[in-house]
Formats: sequence, C-alpha cells, structure tokens
Amino acid sequence: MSTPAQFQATRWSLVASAGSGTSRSALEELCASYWYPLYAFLRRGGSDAQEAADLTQGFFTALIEKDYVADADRERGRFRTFLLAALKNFASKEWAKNRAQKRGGGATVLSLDFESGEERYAREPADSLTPEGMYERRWALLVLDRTGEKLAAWFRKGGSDKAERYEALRPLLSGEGNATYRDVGLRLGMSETAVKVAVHRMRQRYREILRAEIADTVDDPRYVDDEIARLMEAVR
Amino acid sequence: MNDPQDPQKQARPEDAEAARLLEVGLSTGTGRPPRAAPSPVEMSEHFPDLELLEVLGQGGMGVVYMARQTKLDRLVALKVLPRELSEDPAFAERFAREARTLARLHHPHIVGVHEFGERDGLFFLVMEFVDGVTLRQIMAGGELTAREALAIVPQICDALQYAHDAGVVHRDIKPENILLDKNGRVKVADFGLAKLATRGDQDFTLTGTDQVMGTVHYMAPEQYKTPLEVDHRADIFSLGVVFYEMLTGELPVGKFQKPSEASNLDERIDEIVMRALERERDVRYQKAEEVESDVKTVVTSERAPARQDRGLRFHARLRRRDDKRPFSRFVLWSLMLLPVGVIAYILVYSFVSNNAVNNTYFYAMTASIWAGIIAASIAALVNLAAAIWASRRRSQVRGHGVAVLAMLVSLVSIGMMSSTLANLTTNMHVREFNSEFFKPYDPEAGDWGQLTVAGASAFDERRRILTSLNNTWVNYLDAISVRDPDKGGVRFTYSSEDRNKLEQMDDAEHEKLRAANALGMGVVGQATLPHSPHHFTPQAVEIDPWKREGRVTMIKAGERVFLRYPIRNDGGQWKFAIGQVTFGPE
Repeated sequence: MSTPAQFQATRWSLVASAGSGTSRSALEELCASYWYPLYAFLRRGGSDAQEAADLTQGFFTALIEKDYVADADRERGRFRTFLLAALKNFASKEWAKNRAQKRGGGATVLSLDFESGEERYAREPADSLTPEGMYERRWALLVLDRTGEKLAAWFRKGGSDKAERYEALRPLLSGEGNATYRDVGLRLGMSETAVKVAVHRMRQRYREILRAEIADTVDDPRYVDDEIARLMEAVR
Repeated sequence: MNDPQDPQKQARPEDAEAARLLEVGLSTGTGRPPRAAPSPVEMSEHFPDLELLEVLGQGGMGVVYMARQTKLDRLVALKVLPRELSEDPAFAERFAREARTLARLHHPHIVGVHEFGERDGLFFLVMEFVDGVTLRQIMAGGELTAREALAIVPQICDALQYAHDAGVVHRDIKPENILLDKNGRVKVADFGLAKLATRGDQDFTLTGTDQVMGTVHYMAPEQYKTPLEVDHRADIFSLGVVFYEMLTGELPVGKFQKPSEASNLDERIDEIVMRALERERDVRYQKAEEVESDVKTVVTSERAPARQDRGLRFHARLRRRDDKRPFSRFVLWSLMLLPVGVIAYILVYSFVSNNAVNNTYFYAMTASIWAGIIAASIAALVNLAAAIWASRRRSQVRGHGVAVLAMLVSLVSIGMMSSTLANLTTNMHVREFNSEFFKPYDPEAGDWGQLTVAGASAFDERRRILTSLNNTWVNYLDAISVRDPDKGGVRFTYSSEDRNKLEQMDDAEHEKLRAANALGMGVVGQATLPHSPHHFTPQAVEIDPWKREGRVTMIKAGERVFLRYPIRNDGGQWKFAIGQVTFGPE
C-alpha cells in the first residue's frame, strides 16, 4: 500500500480507465480487499454458502479475466456501486448460463477465504437489513476496518512504545464510548493536554489513511467527501 | 426493495462509532459534531471592546460576526476560530505567525486584517468589514454575465499576485471567499487561513503530511496529492475552477465541457480557463498576473471590431439557443417604437395633407408614407444592431442604453424626414407658382409683386381664393401691409386683430366660397376665406375674387407666404394647389 502522499491516480481510476497494464493488478487488489460485502450481499439475498462462494469467485473471474469492466454497463464513478451493479448483472445473466461449467471448477484468479467469510457472515446480526443495505453497511465497516488496521500498523512501525500508545488512545479516536482523556492520561503517564494533542494527531493520521483508502475506490479524489457521506448513510 | 433504513433496524453501537469515524475522514471534519455558532451576545463577553451585531457566517474555519469597534466607531468583521484548534499546542505560535503575515497584506482587493489575538482560548481576527455579498451568493442569485466574470477575475488575480509576491498562498480560493462590495469591487477574504487549520510544517513526526484542507472541488490536484509541496500555483488552479463556474454555472469535474461549449463565449477564454485548470502545475499559468493580462487582452480586443469570421459569428449568434434575449429585446423595442412611428406618420401626414393640393398632395401623401416606413426601418435596424451588440457584451444595461439611443435616432430621423418633406413640397411649388402666377417684385414697374391671372392658362378664370396654409389667413400672417406703389407708404394694414371681421363674412359670399371648396377637395366648411379685406390693390381696398378685374398686391417684405388657392383644371374640376411666394423687400 502506497502512502497517501504518493498516489498519483486512484486504483479505481486505473481500473476504470482500463487499457493500462497496471489496471489488472489494481483490480485484483481491489477485489481481494472488497469481496466480503459482495458475499454478504449474496448470502443475505438467499444464496447458500456454496453458491455465494461460487458466484463471488465466478464473478471475479469474469471481471478480471474477461475485461468485464470495459464492457459492463456500469456506473464508473465508484467502485462500490459498480461492483454491486456488475454482480447483479452477472448473477442474472452470465452465471445462469454458465452455471454448470463454473460449478465444475472453473479457473479461479483470486484466492479468497470463503470459510472465514462464512464464519463472519454467521455472526452478522439477524436483522431486517436488505441485501443492498447489508452490502453498503459491510462496505462502510470494511473501509473503516482497513483504515484501522493501517493506522495500527503505522503505529506499530514506530516501535512498541507507539504501539502501546495506540492501544490506549484508540478508544478515544471516535469520541464514542466511555474512555476519558484523564483515564488514558493516567494510564500512559501523560497530562490530559498531552493526551488531547496526541488524539488530535491520531485523528489527523486516521483521516489521511481513510481518505486515501476511499480515494482508491472512486475515480476522482474529489469525490472522497461525497463517498464518505454515502457511507455514513449506510451505517445510520 | 426495502428501505435499508428500515425502522425495524436495530440500533448498533458499532454503527454509531463507524459514523463518527467516517466523519473524522471528512475534509472539513474535526471529528466532532458541528456546533451552533455562539450568539453575538454569548460571544460579546470575550470581546468587551466590540459591539457584536450579528453572525455573518459560519464555516469550517469558525464563525464570523459583524461588529462595531466602539472606540473607533467603525464596522469590522470578527472571525473567531474553532475552539478545537487550540487543542493543538503549536497552534498559537502558528496562528501568530500567519496572522502577522496577513496583517501585512494591504491591498484594495484583499480583506484587510486589523487585529488578531487570543481571548480566553479563542483565537480571533478582526478584519475589514465588507458591505456586500459573496460571489457564491451572486452566482446563486441568478445569472452572472460573462462580462461581469471577466471584470471580476482580473481583480482576484491582482489580489493573488500581490499576496504571492508577499509569499502568501491563499490555499482556499472559492466563491465563498470572494466578496463583492456595493461598488462591485472584489475583496478576497481568508488569505492563508486554510493553512492555519493544517499541521505546522515543522512537525512531520506523527502526521507525515499536511492534513488535507480546503474545499475539494476548488483544490488543485497537488493539494490532495502532495500537500506539502503546495505553492502559489494551487491558487491559480482554484481561480480557474471559480472562473469556470462563473462562466458556466458548473464545476469542472469529470469530462467537463470547455466554457465556450457550455456558454456563448470567445474561444480565447477557453484557453485561459483550461490553462489555469491544468492538472500539472508546471503547465499551468505560473503567475496570477499572466491570467490577468490574458483576460484583459480578450476583454480589450472584444471591444475592438473586425474579426474575419464576423459574418459567421453573427449568424451563429442569431441561431444560438441561449441567445433569445436580444430578439425579445428587439421585438420589445420595435413594438414600443411602433406607436411612435404611427404618431410621427400621422403628424407628417396631416401636416402635409392639410397643405398639399393637387399633384403636390399626391407627392406629399406618398412621401409621408415613405417617411414613416424609412424611419421605422432605421429604428428597427438600429435596434437590431443594439441588441446584437448588447448580446456580444452579454450586458443588459448597455443594451437598453443603446436601444434608447436607437429610439432617439429614429425620432430624429422621422423629424428630419418630415421637415425635408415639408420644404420639398412647398419649394417645389413655389417655382411653379412664381413662374406662372406671380410676378416677382419689379422695381421698374414699382410693383411689390403682383398676383395676376395673366398666365393662368390652366385656369379658366382669374378666380382665386387666397388663404393661408391652414385656412386661416389672418393667423398665419401677422399683418399684411398694402402699399401704394405710386405714393409709397402703407396704404392698409391688416392684422390678426381683424380676424373677427372674418366671422362676419356675409352669407352670400360665404356660400360662394363653400361652393368653390366643395368643388375642390371637399373641405366644405373649412373655408374661412374672409370677406373683402383680403383682396387688396393699391387702387382698391376690395377686390372681389370672383370678378375678373383688379390685382392684389401683398407686401410682407422678406417673408415667405404660403398660399393655398383653388384651381380648376381643363376638365373644369376644382383642385387645390399649394405655393409659396416671397415678396420683395419693403
């Protein structure tokens, strides 16, 4: 993962503009990162675990191998909306047609851990979310998970002190929850003001990572704010 | 499909945190929910030297109040930065440094900073109060003409160039930060404030890069790609976005049209806007003053005429969809001119027809009709030209001015037509009249001009009735003096005071006149030919026009006398002729 300061074009813009040599690997990378919301969508839509896995895998194969991106009728602007629209299209047409061969064991281009995916899905709350709602929500949370992981990794890179600090400060990041600056300060042996400053910086770092993460899924970094707003809708 | 936000959806604490974390990611986000701006009253406790009047605005960079500096009794704008900023211990130092730089910027197109500081943990700036509106408000309020945009941009450039020379990059040029005061003067606000909200450049250890600030759509690509390397050219990009938005009403995102495709514009404007919007800053304009001079070149040359493809442009313009206005204006003004033309026509017509007789009458009629048509055509053409000229400028105000001018021109042309016509008619006839019916003044004979019947071959008799042009002899000539050529001196003067006598014309005589008139133009009843006194000779005070003998000598030296007289042609029909005679000197 490149640092935010270095990206020249977003991953999705690389893919969407197609034809470039890097677009395939960029697409693979994106798919490998964002497959779970699709899986959850299919499962919520009524597919069993096997079928959802096959569909997801088949879809990605078609997407990557057959240059589906260039052909598909789609909304190019956002990877998130494109992916769902393309999957629906795929599921209703191609998949029905090719089901027999694919199930027999078509070539797979991505190795996805469907087992863990299914485990994860089993823990999804049984609420009234529609498949689409599930997809959007899972997507939003996935973006945040990935951001959180990168933030943690970034702190860990700074040594065990930083890592410990991260663990302590992390609950303060969102401002939700019960942690207070005072308590955290006592734990870390820092003044309350120093904690505030540290959290402030951590938020800024988080923002950079999050924006870079989201920028990768839209074709123009200017849409980042808008995409964030949509993701917020999804978790509200 | 069900609404994903089904009311049955269970509240998940996970989601609340997710929403809050996403909010952290927003470019304007502080990670905290936005608060309502403290009211002027709440805020005034921190600023005893100011009388806070109202909240002017609120944004990512704090709240702006309109305030009065009580001591100086002047209006100022007080900007109070978000309290959150003070959490950053380095902020105070950076704030002071930036504000000092800003306070040093003195420029007619930059909102000046009077004072800055910190009160009770609140960082504030006291700034020049600009009584006006933001460019955003103007754009939202309706059509901003290209002409206005072209007037605004150079002023922004001027401000930017000045600031850039002083080493200040605005970093957040957007319509909200461009104010226009009541005189239409541009004032750029919030110079360099965007930088205040970002990390200090000395502290990379934790943040790595500057936090991305500013309004995304107006940001240069390098502002979110390599924020640390932003220089003054980022402002030029933002200016390009603002420029584009002013011209087209849209933002240059995605595969955007050139301004001239979106709007009716000179293609050279495209080049300027596109060059300002170059994603690669090395290809972009390097200095704001270059933009300024290019815009000014276009503006100046647009005023100058002569382009090869002018004819084509003209037609293109006529067909252009968004150019309906000039035509409606054209129609409007033409309609407004119509009554003027009709009235002018009636005036000319009645004037001429009253006086025109015989073939002259025909000429006069025709001529007055033509006068009307020509005047109306001139008016229409001038109007069309005005409308097109106005549309080129995209300015309504000037358009109306030119239309008014057109109307004046039309009126003048109608007037000139009328007077020419009148002269033409009478003069034309004078010659005829003089040569055929009047003897000019003959000093040898001692005659002051003779009206005889000698040459009146066209007339079967020497009968003639002399009246003034409008049938009121006495009114027309103030006085008629009849001189006796033999003895000299005034023999008789007939003045307008004698008019009353006319009324006493005896019936029998009146009847004769009526008959004569009736034979002619059918203006029975208009005959106001007075009784005897108007037939003058030196010898006889009265001559009966219906008699063959006698002569009339009229003297009014140096004046032209318009005469109308009935004539009877060979066919024995009565007609009227008009003429003018100039009598010899007294």
